This record gives sequence, C-alpha cells and structure tokens, in this order.
Amino acid sequence: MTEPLGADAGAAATAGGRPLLRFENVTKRFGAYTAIDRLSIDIRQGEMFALLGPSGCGKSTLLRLAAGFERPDEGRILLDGQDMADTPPHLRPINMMFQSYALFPHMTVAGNIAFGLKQDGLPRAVIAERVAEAVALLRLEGLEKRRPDQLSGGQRQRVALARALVKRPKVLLLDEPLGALDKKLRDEMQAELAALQRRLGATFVIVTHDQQEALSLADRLAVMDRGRVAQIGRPGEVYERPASVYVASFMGDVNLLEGTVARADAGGLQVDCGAAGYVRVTQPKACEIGGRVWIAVRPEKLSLERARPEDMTLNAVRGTVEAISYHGPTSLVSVRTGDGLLLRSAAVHGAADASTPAVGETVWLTWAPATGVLLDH
Amino acid sequence: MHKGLSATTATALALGMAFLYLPILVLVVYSFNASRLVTVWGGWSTRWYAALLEDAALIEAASISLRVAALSATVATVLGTLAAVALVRFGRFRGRLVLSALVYAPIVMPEVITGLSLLLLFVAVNIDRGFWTVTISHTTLTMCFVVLIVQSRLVRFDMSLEEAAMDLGCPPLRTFLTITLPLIWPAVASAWLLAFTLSLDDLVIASFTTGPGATTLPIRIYSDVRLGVKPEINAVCTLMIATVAAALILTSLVTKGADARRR
Repeated sequence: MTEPLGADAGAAATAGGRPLLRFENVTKRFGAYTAIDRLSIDIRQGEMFALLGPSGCGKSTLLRLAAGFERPDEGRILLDGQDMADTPPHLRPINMMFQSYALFPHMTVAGNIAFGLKQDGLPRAVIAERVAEAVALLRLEGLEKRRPDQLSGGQRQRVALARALVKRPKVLLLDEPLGALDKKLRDEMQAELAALQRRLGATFVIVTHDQQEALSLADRLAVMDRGRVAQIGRPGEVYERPASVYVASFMGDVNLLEGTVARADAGGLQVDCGAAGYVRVTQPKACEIGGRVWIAVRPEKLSLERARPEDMTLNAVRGTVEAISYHGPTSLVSVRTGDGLLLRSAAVHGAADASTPAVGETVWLTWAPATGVLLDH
Repeated sequence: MHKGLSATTATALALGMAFLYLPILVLVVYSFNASRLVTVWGGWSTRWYAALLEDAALIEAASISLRVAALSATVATVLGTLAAVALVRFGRFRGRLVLSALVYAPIVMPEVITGLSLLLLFVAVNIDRGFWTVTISHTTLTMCFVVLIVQSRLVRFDMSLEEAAMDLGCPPLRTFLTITLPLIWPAVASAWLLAFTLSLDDLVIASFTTGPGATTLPIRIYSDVRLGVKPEINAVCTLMIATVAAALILTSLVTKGADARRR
C-alpha cells in the first residue's frame, strides 16, 4: 500500500473541462429490478472517468445506456447538451470497447478496425490511412491480415481498442477493458491506456470492479452502489476521504472503529471507542455530541510500536499480534485489541524503523488524528 | 479417439448398420443387375442407367422434383430464418409462445393430415393444382425444420457482435447481413440442404397437392412399382440415394468446418 496521492497529478489539466456526457436523474428497471436509480453524473470533456463498483451495481448498465443499447425509463442522457433518447446506437458519436472484445471472427484485424469507418462511407484511401494510423498507435503492425482467433489475449484487447478509437468518438466507453488479461499484462496495458488517453485528449469512460485500476487510471471516479452513486471525486479524495462506510471498505482495506462522539473542540473531536479508548479525529464534520459514528483508518496509516509512544497527540491502541500476511513490499499485520477488535497495519519492509514484530507480541498501534475519517453510522 | 473396437461393440455396430442399410445395399446392387427380372442375378451391367435416359417420363419427374425441392427449400430457408430471428431476437413479444408452437406443429403433424388440409385449402381458394401447389406445400413442410436449425444456432450467437457493429455505425439490417448472416451461414446452408432432401423424399404431401403435369419422382416411382418393379426403378432410386447422401455429407462437412473454425 503506497500513498495514492500521485494519481491526482493528471486531474489538474482536466478539472475545468466542460460537461460532455451528462446523466440526469436516470432510472433503468429490468422488470421489478431497478438497475439504475435516479442517477446523475457529469462526465467532462477530455477526462478519464471510472465507474467503479461490485458486480451488479449497475455500472455496465450505465455504459449500455450511454451507448444506446438500453433506454432509460426515466431521466435524460445528454451528449454535448443534446438529448440522446431518440438516437439509435448506430447514430451516436460514442464508441464502446466490449468486455468480451466482440471482434468479428470472420474479418481480419484490418477488417475489424476498418468496419466503423466503412459505415461512414469514407473514401478507401482515407480508410486505409486511418486504419494504418490506428494499427501504429496500438502497435499491431504485422497482424493486419490475421483473424481474431489467431491473436493472443493482449493483441485482441488492442484490436478492440483500435476498432473503437479509429472513429474518433466524442466519448469512448470501455467495459472492463483489462478484465480478461493476466496481472502483468494488465499493469502494462493500464499504463498504455492512460498514455493513449492523454495523447488523444479523448474522453474515456471506463467500467471496472478493480479499485486499484480505477485509482491509478482515472482522473475522476464514481463509486456505485446498487444503481446509485455513492461518491464522485478524484481518486485521492475518494480514497482518503470516503463519504461512507461502503466507499471506505470498497476502496481497499480499512479499519473501522465504532464509537460515540464525546467532545468537540477547536482541535477536532474526541470519540469514545469503548475499550479502544478515546480516539481523536481532526476531520471537520458537523457532529452531535453523543452521536454514534464510525472512524475509518487505512492500514498504512497505522504504525506499529513496541512501546507506548511519547507523542500524546497520536491515537494509540494496545493489542497482540495475531497474524502476519506477507505481500512482498509490505506485510499486513493483524492486531487483536483487548476488547476483541481486529485492526490491521501495513508494515513496509526495508523502512528504517520497521522490524516486523512476531505473532503473539504485544504492540501499540498509533496514528495521527488527521488520518482518521469520521463516517455516519 | 478410441483405441479400436471390442468384438462385442463391433458386432453390435455391424448388426445395426446391416439393419439400416442392407435393404438399400440390395437395391443399389440390383440396379447394376444385367437381368430384366428383378429377382434373378444376371451379372453386372449399367444398362438400366442407360435405359433411364430413354425414359422421358422418369426424367421429367426427376426434373420436376429437383425444381420443386430447390425452390421450396430456398423459400423455406428465407422464411424460416426470418421466423427464427424473430423468435430468438425480439424477446417476449405478444404471441411469441403461440408462434413458436405453430412453427413446430407441422413436425409432429401426420403428413396425411398436412397433405389433406393443404388440398382442401387449394380447392377452397380454387388454385389449379400442379407445380406451384406442391412447391408451396413443401415450403410449409420444410420451413419448421429450418426454424429449428437456425434457431439453435442463433441462441448460441454472441449478441455483443451485433451490438458492436451497430455501435460502430452499422444500421440494424446491414448488421444482420454483414455480421449475423455470414456467421450463421453454415446453419442456414445445412437447413437449406435438409429442406431440399425432405422435399425430394416426400411422397404423401406431394400426392395430395399435385396435379396434372406435375408428377414428382417419388409419385412416379410409386405408381410404376404398383405395376411391378422395373430394373430402371432400381437405377433411379440409386441415383436418388446418391443425391440425398451427397446432400447429407455436404451438410455435415459444412457444420463440421464451421465448428472447427469456431474451435
């Protein structure tokens, strides 16, 4: 677990972009099941926007609504200010890369890429030029005459991307574009996808269930929960300042402490967390004294100490190391506190002060009041 | 894939094949019989095949049968494919269940009843019976088989391919012609071949719905045989078997080739 703040770097350039694709109070039902529930999102010109959520949260349905394969039951979808309700899929300046890639098996790589351009009735020379451009962009040289079943998974993924990009759509929709690739290839393609998006300055909407992928790729992201938006923001905001327990736990490992607000002062709040003691939180948030709250702290914000730290401004909880799971660059240390609460701390290997404790050892977990996030109960 | 057959399975297989094909084999062998008497073996000869060429009535019947089969198979394939697309693609439209039940009914309906009802219809609307009525009847008979075959292929068809085509700017009809049809064509082709052989084989429905000047081959053979089996008939039957067998082999090659490409 590393600091994800670096992911914000690309967002500055796009923060002021105008809204290009707008969902306005969109509802989509399948029979009695509501897949999308009065959802509103603005996707801005030129940004890489990620729709993140577990399977069944409605993120793929949202993409299909944008592409025109499904029609909203209520609400409007606007592209560049124009209502898309009566525009069939083949007339929308939106292209989609399918999760299964959906490459035409009876056409060559070049045929697949040229298909969309041919529909526009472009002159043959222009088509050839644009196909060659796309082939070069996605490093598919030498594969033009192959058929999809003669390609590797990574090559197929690039052909699908080339086919969707070659029409220069206003918005490119990507449905789990890296889902079918193995870990190493996925990491490579992630970087490539980000570079490609920046280079083309195109608007990408990417659907993923992988929070790591969304954090590293997106300029902004929306975490979805059962057809609604749980939180929209830049990756750093959503990770560091989750708006709910759902978002906090979906966006990676998190420690949740339950407590009652005991005192509020200029320095923040004191929360009575039972046996874990009083925990200080400096996050500005309107809270009633006596209200039940959650405090969320990421494992990497907890440090392990063998003795109670001198610095009394830190929060500290004592416990016994119950398990250590090794993750390569870090180890996740599970610590059981006196009242049975299990907290996890990520210890970075090779850090000067981190000699990983042994199972059964008594340790102190400390964290700065600024790193805890107060969430409604 | 098997390491040879055991003695028991080999015997069972031989008996089964004999049960199925011995009568046909006898017919084929006797079509090369030099003797005029069907029951007496007079050595090998192809004279009855030569004699066939002289038999204008048989040749006329064969030509009518082939034309009826080709035409009715083509119409049945077009209509059946469209019906299959409607049944698979358009979800739960009003009357879907009724339509699918109606499409399959002729498969289980006794041919005598289909033939009789068609005859009554043609009489009622006062159409002269002949080539066209047989063709229409065979289209009715074979269309349900086409629906069955094409439908089973369409069910396995990856819908996202059509969506991808439309997403890339291809209108729905062109999508069907440039994406769907080229991918399901092996099923459509085998449906056509099956419809063709079914029409070629049919005696019952044709005898109800035909009229003067449109005697199909099975009707001609049947009426000839009633006056005694002529050696020419063995020859013509052998040719029919060859045609049907060729169609069936072609069908399996087409489907097998397509499966191999799909892997």
